[in-house]
Amino acid sequence: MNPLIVRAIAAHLLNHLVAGVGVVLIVATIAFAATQMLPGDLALRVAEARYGDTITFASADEFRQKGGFDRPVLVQYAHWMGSLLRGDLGHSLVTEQPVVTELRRSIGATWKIAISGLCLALILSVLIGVSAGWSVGSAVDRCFLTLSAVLSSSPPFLIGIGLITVFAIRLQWLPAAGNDQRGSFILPSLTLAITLIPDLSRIARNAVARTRREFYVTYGRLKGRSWARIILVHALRPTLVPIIAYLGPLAAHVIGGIIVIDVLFNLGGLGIELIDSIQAADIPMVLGAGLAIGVFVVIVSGLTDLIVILLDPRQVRSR
Amino acid sequence: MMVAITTPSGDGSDLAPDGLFRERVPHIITIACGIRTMRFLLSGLVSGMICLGMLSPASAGERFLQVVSPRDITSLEPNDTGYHFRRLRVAETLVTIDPSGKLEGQLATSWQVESDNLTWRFALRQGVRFHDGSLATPEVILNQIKRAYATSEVFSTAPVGTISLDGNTLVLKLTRPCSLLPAFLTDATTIILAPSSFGADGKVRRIVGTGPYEIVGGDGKSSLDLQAFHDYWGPKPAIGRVHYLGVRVADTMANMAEAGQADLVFMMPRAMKDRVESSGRATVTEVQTPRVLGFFLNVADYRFNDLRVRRAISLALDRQGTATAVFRNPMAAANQLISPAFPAWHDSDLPVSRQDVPGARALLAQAGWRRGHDGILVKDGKRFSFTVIVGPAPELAPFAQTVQAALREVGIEMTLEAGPLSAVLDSVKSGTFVAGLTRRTYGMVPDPVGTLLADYAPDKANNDIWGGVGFKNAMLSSAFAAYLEATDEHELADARKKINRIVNDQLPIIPVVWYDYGVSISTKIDPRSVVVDPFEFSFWLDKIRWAP
Repeated sequence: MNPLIVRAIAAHLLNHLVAGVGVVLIVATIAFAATQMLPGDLALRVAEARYGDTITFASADEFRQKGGFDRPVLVQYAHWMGSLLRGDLGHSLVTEQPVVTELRRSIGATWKIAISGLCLALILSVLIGVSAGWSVGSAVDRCFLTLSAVLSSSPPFLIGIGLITVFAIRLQWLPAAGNDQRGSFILPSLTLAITLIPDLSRIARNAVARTRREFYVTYGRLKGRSWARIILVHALRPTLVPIIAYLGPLAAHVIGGIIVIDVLFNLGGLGIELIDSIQAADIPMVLGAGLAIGVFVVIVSGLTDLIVILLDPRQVRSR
Repeated sequence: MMVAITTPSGDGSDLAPDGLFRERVPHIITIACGIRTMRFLLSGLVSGMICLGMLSPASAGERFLQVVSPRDITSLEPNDTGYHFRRLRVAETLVTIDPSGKLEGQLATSWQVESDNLTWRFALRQGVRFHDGSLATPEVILNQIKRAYATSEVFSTAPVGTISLDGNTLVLKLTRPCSLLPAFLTDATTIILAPSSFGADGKVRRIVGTGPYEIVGGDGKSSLDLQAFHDYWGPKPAIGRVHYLGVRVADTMANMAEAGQADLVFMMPRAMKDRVESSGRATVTEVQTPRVLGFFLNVADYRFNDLRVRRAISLALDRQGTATAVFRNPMAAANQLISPAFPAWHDSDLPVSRQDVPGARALLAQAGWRRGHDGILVKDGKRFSFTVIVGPAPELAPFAQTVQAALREVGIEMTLEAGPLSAVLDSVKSGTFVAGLTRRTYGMVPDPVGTLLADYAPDKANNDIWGGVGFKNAMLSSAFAAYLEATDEHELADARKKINRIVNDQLPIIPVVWYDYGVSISTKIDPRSVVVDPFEFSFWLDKIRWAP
């Protein structure tokens, strides 16, 4: 590999690592501040999450002491940040299990959906985008634009309910919910993919439409190359660059979609974990989940930048 | 083939004015290629997904019973979620209730009280094994019962002095007579676990019980895989494997029932019944529970310290309308605190509560409340206005709105504020609590007095909403004592009548509706084998059979 590119990749990784640590610390601080803004007695919230209707004041006092809610906020923050820097995320106040154990379980359910949904979205978006972008203004393109507008204005839960109704309830091909039955993550992945496809395929369409006007495409045709070959060998690469670059900022959108999908399909993933933790004022879990999401966004963002460099080394010179 | 079609014509007709090559049908190629590629990629992706899905533990092997309820397992401590493991028939107590609600020995074969009315002797079942193969010895059971007594909210209200062993008999010596002791020992906090369940710190690390099912997998929070325990002391379950899933969204529960994915869905909301049954894949069976939804009041507050006002509010409520409109069951209208789930406690002679707005207005007027210029009642310059926190349960918001409308008719302004139960308790603690619309179950043990005792204990009067904040009644305390000390059914009935009369007359809590307990039963299982337990003690999974 070109030493210039290797150096650029190394510098890029180092930059992302430094920026990533900063982002993670900021996310952690925001997550901590958010938990402190929850209304009411936090210890009572934790006790309710643990004991339900049999909650008592005595149980709340127990959690107040365990969670350190009776200490000044700055002391709590310093304590937690110190633990974080030592790599210790602490224990969930509700379940008393280590946060890492709880996160491992929920992330396990979430990553399957995130990865398969993203891959599916990427593949379909490129196919749709290429078809539409190669024939801008045609019936295919107009159909695509209409469908894309409809889908991008449909919230994930609506898409999910539609898929459940058709594939789980009517056809009974796939499970309606849960994460541990055969094919249980196909519908959630498809829901996520459908929510991402409008944006990704529009980017692909525009990139293809631009590429279509490039001289090397015409030159390829003049040399007698087939359209399929031109698209796959020459046009696809520059088309992928803006799509991959967009995946970085899209990561945060993916998380938002996953939280809704998680609840709708009862996947027991990071989304449910985060909502439950916020409702229960389970501060260590909120911080842990917030941190996991922050790390996910930083990693995806770093990886997409890296792939962009590999796909288009000219990016190195432009930086 | 397609490529040949798009070969330039050579006559210049496909050259654009700018000299660039213009394609007439290139998108057809793209689409054709795209469709082929898409097919290939999609089939690969779907196959990959299915392969990954096949690795899931619950999907492998024999047919399993899929059970769904809206509860997650937040901890393994019996005091928190012991009821889960009792319901799923993983762990057992000394005494239980049979499907008809009668007390029945489980790990105790029989019990008796000595002539002093203080010494209770429970003969322990012999040869019972835990799921780890170890024996449930009297010593193990003794330790568990002592632990439960120290931690349980309900069992600890029993007047137990000492707990000891006499050979194979557990002896509980009471400080005062308590005829309900066997009922207290049905409490889920008294489940008996193997010593291997506990960590070095004394906390429960895993559930190793004696029930007909043992835990063999699951994520431990929202899902559990159960397997029939081959060394169970009683009849073996008909279904070998069970998968439990906690689902908190009612729509998702209904989706699973409709799709035929869930064989049993417990606590299916009434609103989902028609939808689920119309699928033809499940039927919903309902029973009335001992859970009440009502107005919990601060009777020390100037607005509610007059009994006439509390009665006026009770008269102003349209219980039938609320029960029919919100809960779709007119029989759910609560004319007393204890529902028909407890026939011995429920007074079926009490007339149905009808809305009586003029009667309510008259009582409020007698209590000194007069209509203000805006229609809201005023007394001593203070308006009859307050805020209640409404919990997140889906039925609570429409319920609260019907109550709000009914009170507005008699000149009471009630503002609704969304919040969790903890917010209600927070307001009690901070002294700002006026009233709350919430629910309470009286079936934690198979006699409502177990819960009533905990709710109306005199030391809880100022800091607990369940018995009405600030509500103290000496006659109620003596009625409880009489009930616990009763030695025959006649005395019990007398004491029961007194307790009922006080709580229903004094109205520290104004009951509005009783909850139904719905269970969706898949057509894949024999509906006659499903026992719907109104006390939610057990799902009785070991009795369930597949449909023939």
